[in-house]
Amino acid sequence: MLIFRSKNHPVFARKVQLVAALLMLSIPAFSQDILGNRYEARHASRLLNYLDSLEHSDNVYFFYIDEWLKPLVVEKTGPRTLNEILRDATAGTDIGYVPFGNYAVIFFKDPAGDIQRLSTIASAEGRNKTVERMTFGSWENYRAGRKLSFKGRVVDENTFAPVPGVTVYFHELNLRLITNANGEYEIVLPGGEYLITHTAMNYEEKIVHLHLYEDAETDIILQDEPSQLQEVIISDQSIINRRIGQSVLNMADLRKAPSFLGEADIIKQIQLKSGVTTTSEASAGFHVRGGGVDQNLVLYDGTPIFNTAHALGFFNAFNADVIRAATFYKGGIPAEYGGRTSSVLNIISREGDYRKWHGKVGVGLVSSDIVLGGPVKKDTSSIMLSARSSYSDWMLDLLKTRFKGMSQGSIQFYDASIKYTYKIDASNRISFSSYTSRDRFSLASDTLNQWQNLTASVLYERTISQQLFATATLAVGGYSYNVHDSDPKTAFDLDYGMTYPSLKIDLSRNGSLHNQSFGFQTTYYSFHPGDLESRSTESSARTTHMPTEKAIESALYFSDNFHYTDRIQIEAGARLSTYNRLGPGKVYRYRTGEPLEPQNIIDSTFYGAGDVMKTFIRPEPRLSVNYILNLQSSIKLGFNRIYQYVHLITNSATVTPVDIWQLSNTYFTPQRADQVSVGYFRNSRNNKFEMVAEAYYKYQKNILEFKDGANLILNPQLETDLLRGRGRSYGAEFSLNKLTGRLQGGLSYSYSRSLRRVAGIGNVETINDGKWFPSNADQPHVVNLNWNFGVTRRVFFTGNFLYHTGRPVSLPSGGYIVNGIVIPDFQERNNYRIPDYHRLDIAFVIEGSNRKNRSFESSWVFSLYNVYGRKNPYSVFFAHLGGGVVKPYQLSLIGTAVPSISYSVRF
Amino acid sequence: MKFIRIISLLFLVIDGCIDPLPVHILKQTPRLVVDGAITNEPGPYVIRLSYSTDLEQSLGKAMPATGASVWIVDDSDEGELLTEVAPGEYQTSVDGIRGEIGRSYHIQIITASEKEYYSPPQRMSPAGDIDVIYTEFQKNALNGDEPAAPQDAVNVYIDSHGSESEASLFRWRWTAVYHGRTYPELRVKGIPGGGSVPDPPACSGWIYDGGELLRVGECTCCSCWPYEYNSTAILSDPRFAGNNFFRKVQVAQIPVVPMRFHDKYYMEIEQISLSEDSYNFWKLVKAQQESAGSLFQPSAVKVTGNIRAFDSDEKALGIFEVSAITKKTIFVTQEALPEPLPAIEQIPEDCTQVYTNGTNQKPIFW
Repeated sequence: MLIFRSKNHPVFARKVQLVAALLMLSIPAFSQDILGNRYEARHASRLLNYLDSLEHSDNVYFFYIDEWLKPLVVEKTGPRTLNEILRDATAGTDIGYVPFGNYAVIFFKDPAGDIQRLSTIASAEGRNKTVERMTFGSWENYRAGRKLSFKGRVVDENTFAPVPGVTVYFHELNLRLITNANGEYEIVLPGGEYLITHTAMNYEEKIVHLHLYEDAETDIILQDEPSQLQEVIISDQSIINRRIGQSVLNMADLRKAPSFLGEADIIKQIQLKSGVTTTSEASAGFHVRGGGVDQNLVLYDGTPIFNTAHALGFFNAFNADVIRAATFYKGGIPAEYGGRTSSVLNIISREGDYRKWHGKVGVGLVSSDIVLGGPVKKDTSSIMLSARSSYSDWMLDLLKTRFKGMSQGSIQFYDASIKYTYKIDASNRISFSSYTSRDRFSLASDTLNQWQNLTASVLYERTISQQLFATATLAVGGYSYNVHDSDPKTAFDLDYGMTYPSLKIDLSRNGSLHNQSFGFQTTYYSFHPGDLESRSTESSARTTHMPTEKAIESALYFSDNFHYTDRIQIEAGARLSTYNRLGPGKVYRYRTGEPLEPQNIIDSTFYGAGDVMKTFIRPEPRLSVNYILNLQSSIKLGFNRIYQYVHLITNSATVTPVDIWQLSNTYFTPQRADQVSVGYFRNSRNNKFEMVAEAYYKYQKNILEFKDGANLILNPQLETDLLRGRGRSYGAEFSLNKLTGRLQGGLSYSYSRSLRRVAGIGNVETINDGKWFPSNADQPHVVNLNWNFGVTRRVFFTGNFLYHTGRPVSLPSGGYIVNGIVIPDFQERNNYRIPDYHRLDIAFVIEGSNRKNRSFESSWVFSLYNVYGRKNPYSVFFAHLGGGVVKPYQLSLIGTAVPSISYSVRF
Repeated sequence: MKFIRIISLLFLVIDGCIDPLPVHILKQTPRLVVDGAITNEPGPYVIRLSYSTDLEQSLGKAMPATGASVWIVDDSDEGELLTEVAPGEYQTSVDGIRGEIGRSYHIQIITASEKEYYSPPQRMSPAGDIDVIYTEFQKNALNGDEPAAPQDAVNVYIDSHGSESEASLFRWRWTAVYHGRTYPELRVKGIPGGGSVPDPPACSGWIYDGGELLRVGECTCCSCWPYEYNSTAILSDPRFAGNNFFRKVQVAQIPVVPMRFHDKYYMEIEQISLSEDSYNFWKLVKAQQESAGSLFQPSAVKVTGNIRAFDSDEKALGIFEVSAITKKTIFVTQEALPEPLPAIEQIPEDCTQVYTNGTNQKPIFW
């Protein structure tokens, strides 16, 4: 036990412990004269020595424990009050003091810091977590008050790759930092003991008990979160620090979540986020805050992917086991991203282990996959490979006796990826990543549909200095589809395709106050909008070639993330995007003041190869503000303006394999979206719960709607079949998540609207008389519930429930007969809603091994999709029952509960 | 287009199902509907005027627009006022206006409530020719949504061509007739106390005198000829037709049931040339029909025709067509089927009562 003493008043010392305790609890009633006394320090000295001298010369007494005051110094000289002298000397420490009468000062140490630290350590150890003790320098040699610099570099245990985006929480300082792109963080602080928690998605939480008495730099090694880990602690307090509208997807959760026919699906996981809706199960795309399906930028290792669907949207084209991290932005989108107006899904693929080989083999009802990764040269280079393929037509065979034409049909898909990473030296790294997916389906007929994605990218990362980090990405992407008809009488091939090479250079500079990022991106688009080739001499198909379309989209961006005050963090940025539509090409001119209709063409201009046909230069301001109210809560604000230069041309509510993408030109001016969002974020004291409330308003210009009966394929004057409109959406989203414990999960509710207005020239360019009407994504009420319950350490019961208002559809208000053919009369677009959608899915996950050192680890997932067999309507149509009687019907794609089972082994 | 049609077949996956939609009927403002044509065939030509109705009742019971004045006017401003021969049915006179290929015609209407409507001039383009009609048998072609009752079908195709000089905007329409055969003389009725006695209708040519059946004359209701028509818009697609030739255009799909084929099945196919307005109208109708139930949920299509209101915002529906027509016919017999059909069911009823869209007049070409 420490001895409380005053060198010059030993009698008093015996009672002082009790008194000090009392003083800490109550405000002293004594006069404060003694602290107001002025004393002079002639030279800088240790506080202990100085107090000693005062006791001798001025007849005052100080009570303290040597150890507490030993590091403290008196730096300023000259006459000052005792209060000023002591305040300066103890600043930044947990040492306090109170006057006692007019002759004594009692020092005390605030035990709260120690107690909190000890209890945190105890609780962590209770959860089988280790607390790593790190000591730099020694207490004896530390000169009190001196500020020290501490740099941590967070790296992956296997790859030693830096881990960016780690939340670093200093418990004593109530301060959170985020590691930069280089995995680093830096802080200047007084020496002492600190407890630091490092949390990152898909890694085990790392707690460091730091004893810091000199400047230090160290690696903090994060371990992969074992998939059998019972508790998935998503983050400590990261939502307080996360920017508005941002969420990070947890891959371990994704593998445990119920799935349709056993296929873990990252896109379906995103659809569970508040603000994200989907029209139905077989929908490849998703709508974010009332936006269109083409307004989501899906990046795979930096390359945009144009079709993320397998099997017409029942599954998605990414193998969940190859995804290292996935970040999703729905508001306050950073300046680094652009080109799609609604959201960004940034998928980073996994790299192979640099020490030993790991792999996974999965077997499901629909597909099987294999993932393998390991060192090519130990500690220097690694490779990661994956392949997934559907079984031949299992699904269709099951149904063959039941449905028309299915028996001769087939649905197949596969996807594969490779990633090679080479560490040139400590500050240079290069990686190559490639991804491909391919789908084909055919039905009873002779028609075969195929589509495919292919991307390849080279990423070079360089640490220029401790503060400056640079990456360069050279990538090429391709998307194409083909429709093949082999019936000799009609044989044809319809080919559509695009290639988009791109270059991206990003730099980030991490200062102590400012984190800046800036860069340049450019993409060259070459679109082949459709070639129809007759495939037999007797075929009635007429060969048609649509001219190739070319454009360049570039952007410069800058963004600065800084602490405006201790509480206010601002990320302000801007993006200047430019777009040039390049020749060769033909632009039709239409009579002014008349609708864009073929009969109103008055002229056309031909542009030669390389000529600039149209240029757009558009500034895009971005802002994100985080106002930290206290340890538990913050208010956030986001604004973004984004332009989009490529448009998905579709007349359906979902993405189809024969949709075309159209480049901006004279008539398709860039889409623009402005979004303001504001949110309140709160954590419970023990970080068990987090709560988010967000509201947003979004206004869109130049969005495309189609004319009735529009012909979108092989149309050289597409502008005559499309209409330009405006959109506005607004909403409020609430979510509550429980992050720890045996039962984890979340509940969210959103209210949102998404409206459109098309009021062009005359009737042909106007929809619903120019009034605002609900868009396809208008689903006002959305409720999501998901949970993960650890039945035992190895068995999990997970599930989700989804409810949303039925989407708008157009219904006829009446009908008539012409030439014996019944024609329903659709007077207004989207004038009705299909019945509400709701669905419950559950899954049992059994994991084979809980011991980390076991070489194999297996898991079974039993899923039940649509538990209570709800027949959720997919679409509505009218059938003529004969005799002029027309009745509405709804079509459901999945009318029963769908069970599935999948098994995987990891090593 | 073919591949769009193919895609629309795919919607039936994983026990998917179709159920009636409980929908409250939306309100419909009645609008004038025009349905009529002038062709290159001899008149008289008929224009039907009616009002659109909501979907609660049969569209066949639409209210006729009576008391209107209807003119068909040619490109030299010569017109003919049509006569209302039945409620809402207006007809040219037998020796009146006659359509000629290459000339233009339009319609003018003044309704009983003095609202004026017109169509822009529509040019009559040549109809080309149907070269050949042929059939293919397809097993389980129909009843995709009722897998318990698979249904075979005979697909009817044509090869045809248009004129070399003009864009080939065509619609194909068919009319079919077959021989319905019933056995009304076998009809019985129950008697008090159980059992039954013969009860042949008079048209069967048999009577029951209380003791036995007596043949008293010819049966006039044992055979009838039910008519069938196409209910979908079948259109040419000029983007897919090389040199104005059309190959293997599927015009009809006839469900194989013994009654249709025990004798023979007659089909007349018309190739109808369309003005651009008519073509666009039928294209919208076709798009609307295809969008129903397509996997990719294309939005519903509002169909607009070529009838415009004069001096008002009133919108009228329907189409005034100016068309040339060529025809070809085919008899489909059991030879088109891979195996003989079972014998027809012996239906003990008056044939015209069973086949309401039939007549007991044997067609002259039979």
